[in-house]
Amino acid sequence: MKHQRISRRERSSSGSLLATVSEGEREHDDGAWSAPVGTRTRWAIAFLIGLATVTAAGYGWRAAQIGSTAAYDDRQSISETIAVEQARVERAVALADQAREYVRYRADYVTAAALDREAARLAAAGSARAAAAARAEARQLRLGATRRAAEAGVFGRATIGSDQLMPTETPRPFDYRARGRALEIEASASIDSPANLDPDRWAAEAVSIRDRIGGLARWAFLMLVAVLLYTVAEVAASRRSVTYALVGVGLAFYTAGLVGGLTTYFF
Amino acid sequence: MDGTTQEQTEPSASVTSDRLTPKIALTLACLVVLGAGIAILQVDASIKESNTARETTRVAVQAMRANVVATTVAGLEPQLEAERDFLPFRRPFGTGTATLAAAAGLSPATAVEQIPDLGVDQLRRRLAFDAERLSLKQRAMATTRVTWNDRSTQYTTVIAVLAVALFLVGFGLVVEGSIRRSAYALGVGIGLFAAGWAAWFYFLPIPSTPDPAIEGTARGTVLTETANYAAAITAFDRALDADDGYAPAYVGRSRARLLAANPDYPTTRAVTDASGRAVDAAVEDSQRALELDDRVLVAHVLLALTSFYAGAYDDSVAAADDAIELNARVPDLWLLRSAGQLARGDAEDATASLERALVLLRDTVPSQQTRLLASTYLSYLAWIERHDEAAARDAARLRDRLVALETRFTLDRDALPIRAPATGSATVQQLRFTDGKLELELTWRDLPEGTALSVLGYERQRRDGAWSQPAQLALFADVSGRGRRAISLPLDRACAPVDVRVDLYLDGARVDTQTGPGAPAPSC
Repeated sequence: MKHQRISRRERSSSGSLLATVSEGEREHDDGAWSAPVGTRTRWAIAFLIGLATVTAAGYGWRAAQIGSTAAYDDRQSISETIAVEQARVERAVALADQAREYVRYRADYVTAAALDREAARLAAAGSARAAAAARAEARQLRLGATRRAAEAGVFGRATIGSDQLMPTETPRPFDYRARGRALEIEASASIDSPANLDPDRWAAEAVSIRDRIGGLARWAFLMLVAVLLYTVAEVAASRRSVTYALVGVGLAFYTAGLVGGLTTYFF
Repeated sequence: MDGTTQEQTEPSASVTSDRLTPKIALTLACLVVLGAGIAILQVDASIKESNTARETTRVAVQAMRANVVATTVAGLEPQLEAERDFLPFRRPFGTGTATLAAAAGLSPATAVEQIPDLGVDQLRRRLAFDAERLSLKQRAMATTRVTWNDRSTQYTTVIAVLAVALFLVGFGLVVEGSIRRSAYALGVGIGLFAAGWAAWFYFLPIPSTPDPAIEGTARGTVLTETANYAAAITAFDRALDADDGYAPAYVGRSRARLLAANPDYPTTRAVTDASGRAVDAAVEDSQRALELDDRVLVAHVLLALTSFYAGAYDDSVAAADDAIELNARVPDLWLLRSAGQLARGDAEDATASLERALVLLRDTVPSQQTRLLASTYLSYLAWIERHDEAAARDAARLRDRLVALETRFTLDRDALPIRAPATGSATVQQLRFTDGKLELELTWRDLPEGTALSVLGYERQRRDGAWSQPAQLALFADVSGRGRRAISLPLDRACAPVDVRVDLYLDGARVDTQTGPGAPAPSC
C-alpha cells in the first residue's frame, strides 16, 4: 500500500528530479536506506546510463574522426620517404658518374705526364721541335681532361672556372664524401627542390594521433564501467543504500572518464 | 478449482521471471563491458598494425634505395679497375710510341699507383651491409605487421561471437517459459567462451626481431660475400645470441660454414670437404632454419647440395623438389635435381630435369651466369663419374651433350654435327698449373672452315678427388686451317689444384683429353 502511494505521488509530481528524490526520501524516513528507490530515481539512473553511453559514443566518433587524419599522415610519410629516397638514389648515381669521370681525368693526367717525360727525353736528344710538340699535346690533354671533368660536374661547375682557363699541373683531388655532401646541399638549395621533406615528422604525428585514439577508447571504457554500475544500481533498486552507492561510484567513473578524456585526448 | 490453481500458478511464474530479469540485465551489462574491453584490445592491435604497416612500407622504400645505390657502386668498382688496367695501353697521340707503357714505362702494377683508390671497395661493403640490413628489417617488420593484422581480426571475431551471446541473453528478456532459461544459459556460456578466447589471443606472442639479430645477420651476409667466412660465422653467432629463433641467421651461418669448408666452391665448384664436422653443422643450421620457416628456399638448396655431395641422393632429390615447389623458375634447382636423379640411377628423369632447366634458359643469351650454370652441372657430373661407377657412363654422356649444347649456344649455331671433322686435328700440349697460373698450348691444323672448337678445363684439389669445372676455364671459338694459341691464365685459389685436365671438342665431339701436373701436394 505504501509503495503504491509513493508511486502515485511520484507519477503525479511535476517537480525537478532532485526534488523528486528528496520527496521519496522523506516518504521513507522510517524505512530509511533499506527501502526501495522511487520510480523517478530509476528514471534518473536510466538517464545517467544514456548519458554515459552517448558520451562514450562521442569519444568513439572523435576517435574515428582523428583516425582519418592518422591515415593521411601515414600516406604523407610514405610519400615523402619515397621522395627523399629517390633524391638519395639520384645523388648516388650522379656521384658514381662523377667518380667514373674522375678516373678518366686522372688517366688523362697520367698520359700528359708521360708526354712531358717524352718531351724531356726528346729535348735531351736534341729534338727541340718534337719536344715542344709533345709538351703542347700534354697541355692540350690536361685542358681537355679538365673541361670534360668539369662538364661532367666532377668538381662542381662553379669552382672550376679558373682551371678551365689554365689547368693545374697536378690533378685535383676528389673526395666522394665531400662531393656527396655538396650534391645534397645543391639539391636542397636549388629553386626547384621539394619543400623541406620530413617523413619522420608525419610518422610521429600519425603515432601521436593513434595514441589519442587508444586513449579515448580507454576513457570510453571507464564510462561503460559506469554504465555497468548504473545498471546494477537499477537492478538493485529494492535497496536504496546499495543503489545510491552504485550510482555514486558510477558517477565517479563517469566523471573521471569525462574529465580525463576531454582534458587529455579529445581536443 | 481450476481458476484458483491458475491464479496461484501465474504469480509463481511471474516471480521466477522477475528474479531472472535482473540477472539478465546484469549479464547484458557485463557482456557490454567485456565487449568494450575486447574492443580496446582490437583498437590497440589495429593501431599497431597501422603503424607497423607504414614503417614497413617506408623501410621497403629505403631498402630499395639502398639496393640500387649498392648495385650502382658495385658496378662502379670494376669500371674503375678496368680504367686503371687499361692505362698502360693508352696511346699518347703524336709521339710515335705504341702505348703509354712503351712511352713512359707504365706497367699494370705502376698504373694502380697512378690512379688513386677512391675508397669504393669500402663504400661498397658499407652500402651492401646497409642494403642487407634494411631488407632483413623490412621482412621482419612485415611478419610483425601481418601478425598484428591477424590479431586485430581475431579480436573482431571474438566481438562477433560476443554479439551472439548478447543476442541470446537479450532474447531471454522478451520470451517466456523454458526457452527463456535456455537462451540465457546459452548466452552466458557463449559469453564465457568469448572471454576465454580473447584472453588466449591476448597471450599469443607477437613476433619481433631485435636489431642486433638483424645487424649481425646483415654483417655476416656481407662478410660471406667477401669470402671472410670465419668472421661471418662469428657475426651470425652474435645474431643468434640476440634471437635464437631467427631463420635468416641460421641460413646465413649454414652457407658461411659450407663455404668455409669449401672456400673455392663459389669460383670453381670444387668440393674439398663433403662430410666433415663443419658440413654437419651447416646441415643442422639449414634444418633448424626450415623448422622455423619452411619457405626459406636457400635452406632447401643447401640441404639438397650437401646431401648430393654426401651421397644421399634420395634426400638430395627430395630437398630439390621442396625448393622447386617454392620456385620452379630457378634453373640451378633443376640441374641439381637432375644430378641427384642421375646419381641414384634415374637417367631418364635426370635428362627430363636437364631439359626443364634448358627450357628456362631458352630466351637468354650467353653470359657469365649461363657459363656458371654449365660449369656447375659439369662439376656435378664429374663428381658422379668419380664416385658412382654405375652412373659414370650416363654422366659422361650428359657431359658431352651439355658441352655440345653450350658450344652451339655460345657460338650461335643452329646445329652442330656432333662428330669430329673428317680432316684435321687439334691438340693440347704443355698443360700444367705452375706459379698460380694454368698454362697450356693449343694447336690445330687442317681444320675445315667454321669448325667449332671447345676447350673445357678441369681441376682437382686431391689426387683421389673428383674433378671440378671452373666457370673461367672454358673457351669456345670458330677456327679453321692451322693455328696455335698459348694460354696462361692466373688462377686465384684457396686450395691449389694438384691436377689439371683439359677436354677438347671439335664440332661438339670430344677429340682429346689431357691431364697435367699441378701443385706438388694438396693444400686443403
